[in-house]
Amino acid sequence: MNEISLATLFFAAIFTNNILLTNFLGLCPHIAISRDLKSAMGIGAAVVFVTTLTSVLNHVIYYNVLIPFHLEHFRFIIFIIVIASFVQLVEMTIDRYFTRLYVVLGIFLPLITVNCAILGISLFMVIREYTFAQSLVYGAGSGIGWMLAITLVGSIREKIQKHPNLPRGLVGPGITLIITGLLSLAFMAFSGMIQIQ
Amino acid sequence: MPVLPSNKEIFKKGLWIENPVLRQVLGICSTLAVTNLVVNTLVMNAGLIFTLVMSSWTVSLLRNYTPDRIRMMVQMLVISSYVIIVDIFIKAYLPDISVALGPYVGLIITNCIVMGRCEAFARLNPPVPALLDGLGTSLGYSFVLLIIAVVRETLGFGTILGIQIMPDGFVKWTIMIMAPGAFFMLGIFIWIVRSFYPQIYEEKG
Amino acid sequence: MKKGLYSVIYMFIVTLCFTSVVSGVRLLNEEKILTNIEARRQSVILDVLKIKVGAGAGPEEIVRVFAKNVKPLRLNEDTIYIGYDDDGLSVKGYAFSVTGPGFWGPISSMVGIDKEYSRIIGINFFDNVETPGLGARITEDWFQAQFTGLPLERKDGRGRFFTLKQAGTRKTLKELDAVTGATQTSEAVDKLLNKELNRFVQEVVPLIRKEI
Repeated sequence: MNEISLATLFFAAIFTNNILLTNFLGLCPHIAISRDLKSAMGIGAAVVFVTTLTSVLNHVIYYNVLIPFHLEHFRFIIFIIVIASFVQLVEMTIDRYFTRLYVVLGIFLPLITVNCAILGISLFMVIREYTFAQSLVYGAGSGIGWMLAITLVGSIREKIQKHPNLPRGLVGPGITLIITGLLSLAFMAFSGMIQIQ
Repeated sequence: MPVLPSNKEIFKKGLWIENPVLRQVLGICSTLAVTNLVVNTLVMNAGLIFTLVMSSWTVSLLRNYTPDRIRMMVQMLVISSYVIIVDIFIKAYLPDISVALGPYVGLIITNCIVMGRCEAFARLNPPVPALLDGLGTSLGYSFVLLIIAVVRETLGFGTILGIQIMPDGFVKWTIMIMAPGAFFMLGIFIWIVRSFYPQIYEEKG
Repeated sequence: MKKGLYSVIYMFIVTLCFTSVVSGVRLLNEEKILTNIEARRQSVILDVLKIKVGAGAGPEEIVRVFAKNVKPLRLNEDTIYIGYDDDGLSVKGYAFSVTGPGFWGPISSMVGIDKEYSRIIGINFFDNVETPGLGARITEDWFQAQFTGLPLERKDGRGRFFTLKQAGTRKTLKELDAVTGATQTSEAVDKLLNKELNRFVQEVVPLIRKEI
């Protein structure tokens, strides 16, 4: 049983325990997408939606179906099926009701499924034994944290890419990783903000 | 029908020219987290090698029977099964490392490399080339991460595989064991490699 | 129609095959995995009660020793572990877990106290996410060994049981060395242990006395 408070958990998920900057998850789409601020925010919003709901959904399935039947070890398969189905649902909904957004996001939507961050959030939720409420808060916070990270790196990247003196070896993933590292370093400073009650 | 490269070439491709980390910067999520200790990296690499090789081989064996529409689901099923087997194995025989690796073993499932190779190569080629492709790619990946791990553990803990190698007065670079250290290391490594071998790695356009 | 049906049947068969193989592997190793998990938890309890397990003992040995020498006792929300001497009759001490906020996240520890509730036998910080090489050093032997023998007494029954002071500046028995360079974690440990030990002495000890 994890006794962490909801407010602390939410804050930690976004800042001190950021799913991308601290736990390295969700990097692949990050390097591809953070180039363009607009699509970064679009994808980020979709990811927040998906992480919050799949985190909760997987919690329910894990504790009400998998554990009673001693099938915990199948959680990997079940979680990813839930995530894939859910993303499919989101894709169909966006296509139907927000067609313009769909054109912009296009290829990125199926990529959300393999965003390690989403599966990672569900797996962390199991390992840390979060309750239902904690899973909801953790899922939402982590999604927001991911979105925050890619938009921040994206905006920094937009500025740097235009710089004429960037070494050739660094163009693309090289500089993105270093920017991400610096941002990760900066986020570590947040750990002093949570008061020890 | 293009001439297939020889099996040896397929194997070597994954190691260097088409190294998944250095060339495509794929699949780093699950292992960057554990590269702060060499022993964890070795176990993680073993898990990935097993998964990629077996998944490539299996997907290739099934390629003529799998209907196109459901091929992604089948690939996912195959990959997940092998990852679960790896997880069970580590939990049973290396329990302390299992706790240290946490959810990252399970995240091999979403590792873009595994699914990438299955989709791009394994399902279109016979079993032996597919197996070699999987082996070459996963070894190439492992080698990059191992180097990062050696640097991180040496600078961050002063040890390699738990054996002290830095002199006693050495002040540990704790930043190396934490998240930023991994990002910097990988960024610098890619920078170095791309600077020395621009003809292979340069991004077109 | 035929293609669709083939897809469904194929998927079904493949799923069946793979899940069977996975389940088979799991069944073969189930016992080992469960023993590992049990042994992990139990070795911490044995450690703080200073009940010896042979050097290099495997999980099965740990589980065996635990079953022989420790009995859990549920008191409302807490579980206390009663440790017995080798004869299995005389109580050696009590172990209970203490969790509280650390610097990066929660810190969990197991505390063992002697049968007169008068001093700490041992402590083990088995779970934390503090800075590796700094705050995480609370798991090192030298830090944990400091608590062994610490008397559970306070002035007038109020105040702290102990204080963590900068290394090298301790003057009294109740002052222990903090981890150099890990001020926040040391402060967190100081705060949470004192608070929980206080709660244990005030609320839980009377309950134990009633049970025994």
